[in-house]
Amino acid sequence: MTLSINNIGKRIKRDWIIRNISIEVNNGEIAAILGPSGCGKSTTLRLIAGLDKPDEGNIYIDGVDITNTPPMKRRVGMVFQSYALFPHLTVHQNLSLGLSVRGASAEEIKIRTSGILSLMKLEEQQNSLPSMLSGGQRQRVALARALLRDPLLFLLDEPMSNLDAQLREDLRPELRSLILKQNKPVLYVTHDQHEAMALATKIVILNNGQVEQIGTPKEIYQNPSSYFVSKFIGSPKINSFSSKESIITAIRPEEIRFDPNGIPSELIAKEWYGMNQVLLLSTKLGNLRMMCTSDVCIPQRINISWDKDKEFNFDRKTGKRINI
Amino acid sequence: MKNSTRKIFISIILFWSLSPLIWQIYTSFSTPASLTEPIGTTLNRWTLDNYIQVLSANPSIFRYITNSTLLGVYTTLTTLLLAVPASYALIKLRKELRSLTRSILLLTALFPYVLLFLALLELAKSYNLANNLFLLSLPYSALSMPLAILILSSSLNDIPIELEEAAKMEGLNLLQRLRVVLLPLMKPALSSTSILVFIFSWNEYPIALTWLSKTEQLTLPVAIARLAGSSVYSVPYGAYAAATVIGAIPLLMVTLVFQKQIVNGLTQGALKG
Repeated sequence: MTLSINNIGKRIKRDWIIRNISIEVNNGEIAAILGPSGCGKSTTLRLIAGLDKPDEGNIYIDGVDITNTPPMKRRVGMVFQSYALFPHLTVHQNLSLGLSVRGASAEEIKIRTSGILSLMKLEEQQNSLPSMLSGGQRQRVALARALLRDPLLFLLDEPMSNLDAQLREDLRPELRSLILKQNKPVLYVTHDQHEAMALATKIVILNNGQVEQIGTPKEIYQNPSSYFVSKFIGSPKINSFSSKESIITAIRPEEIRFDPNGIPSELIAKEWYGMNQVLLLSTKLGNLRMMCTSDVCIPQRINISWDKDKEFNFDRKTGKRINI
Repeated sequence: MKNSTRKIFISIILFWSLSPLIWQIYTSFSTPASLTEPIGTTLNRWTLDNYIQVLSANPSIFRYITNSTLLGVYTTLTTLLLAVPASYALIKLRKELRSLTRSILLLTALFPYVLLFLALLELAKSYNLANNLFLLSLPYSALSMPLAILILSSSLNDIPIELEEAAKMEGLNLLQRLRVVLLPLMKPALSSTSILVFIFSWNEYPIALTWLSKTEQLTLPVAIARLAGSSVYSVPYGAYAAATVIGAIPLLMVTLVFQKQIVNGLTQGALKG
């Protein structure tokens, strides 16, 4: 199964919210759509779900054009950011509703719901209303409902954003293995780069309704195609300074090292992260962040340098990567 | 407000709204002669004659209660049947169009409907709509429609859009979405709308007066009014009061039973910005 989106665009009156977006996702791939809020990532997802109609472009599943197929007939398993569980129905009813509407027999409904309830460890909650569940349980019900849809592809709209940070980290591997096991194309919208890095096999960076870069998490990190991408990915944030008139140079904090012959700098602040620490240094290029292990001995006089070939150079006007 | 002043305030309001009712009950148990005398001067002032008169009349008051109930049920069902799809359509309109429509609806809801009664009389005359309770429920539903749509659409508006979208993704068509997802979530608004429409139809007088003439088809208000006008020389205050007391009981019971839903439905969405 392949989901391919071809040059879709959506506008409100004259303003394009997204435009020229083309993405291809194959079976067993998790593509994370990553971008700041308002970049159009949810809009993209809604177009694929069929909840909104694109103003240009087409959407195909396995070569079949589904651009004008109503959402009821699209066979898309969607997990909403708010989970959108039906508040007046029990967990069991939430799961069986779609099956019965789509014409499953009572026998089939019984087998499939009990199977998914045990897979999701929700057997004890099956007669509870959604309001009685914890955030993690709600997420599992929403996911279970999407799985029972027998979808051709999965769409997940920030499914973790309603959970606290600890739970999010716990659930990530579980979610990843569960959706990878389905062996279907998965689109995962998030604004959290860690989540995208941890879950996705492919990251689509959106900015202002345009695709900035598509690549594996490693490619995106090591080879950002634009200034925006380099800034958006990586924590602590990448350092940047203007080296020449029309060029912005950027260097990752972990590439900076102490070097007696390097640029003289002064320590302004220090953040300790357990294994690592981040030093904020004032230099003639401006303030730079440097990341090193926490056992490293900080010299009295700090001089720093980095390998020239680890630098990224960007055109100041277009923000695009250039090679010098 | 301090607790004591609050109590006094509530007492005044209670007295203001309950005293006519108490007076009516008092009158219904009094003999006609005692009504013109000061309280406590007549010895045999208490009587059940008024109730006996009302209940033993032909047709009895139960006939009119049945008519009013039937009319109320017809009106409520017709109103809901039309107002639910209308409200759904209303919230799907573009924003500007939606607020324009809502304002027009509000204006029509405030329109004094009595002004329509001559036109409605003409309609009844030329299309033979008189003396049929179901047909009478049509103008009633039309008159209830603005308020019903306003209440129902604001409750629909409070349902998160994702719920309907999730139902779409599950493959539910429009009717299924309404039946399984939207209507159950609109229950408070549906019950308060029903009660308000039912009360309107129960109390309505001028249109019922002109559309109904056969004695066995009369609704409660019209029948009671006829009672009052049955003699040229005297007004049977006692019987009149007894009839209104009996006529108020079904409505009172319905309101007591659904009290919670009415308040919930009317205040739904009131707390959200």
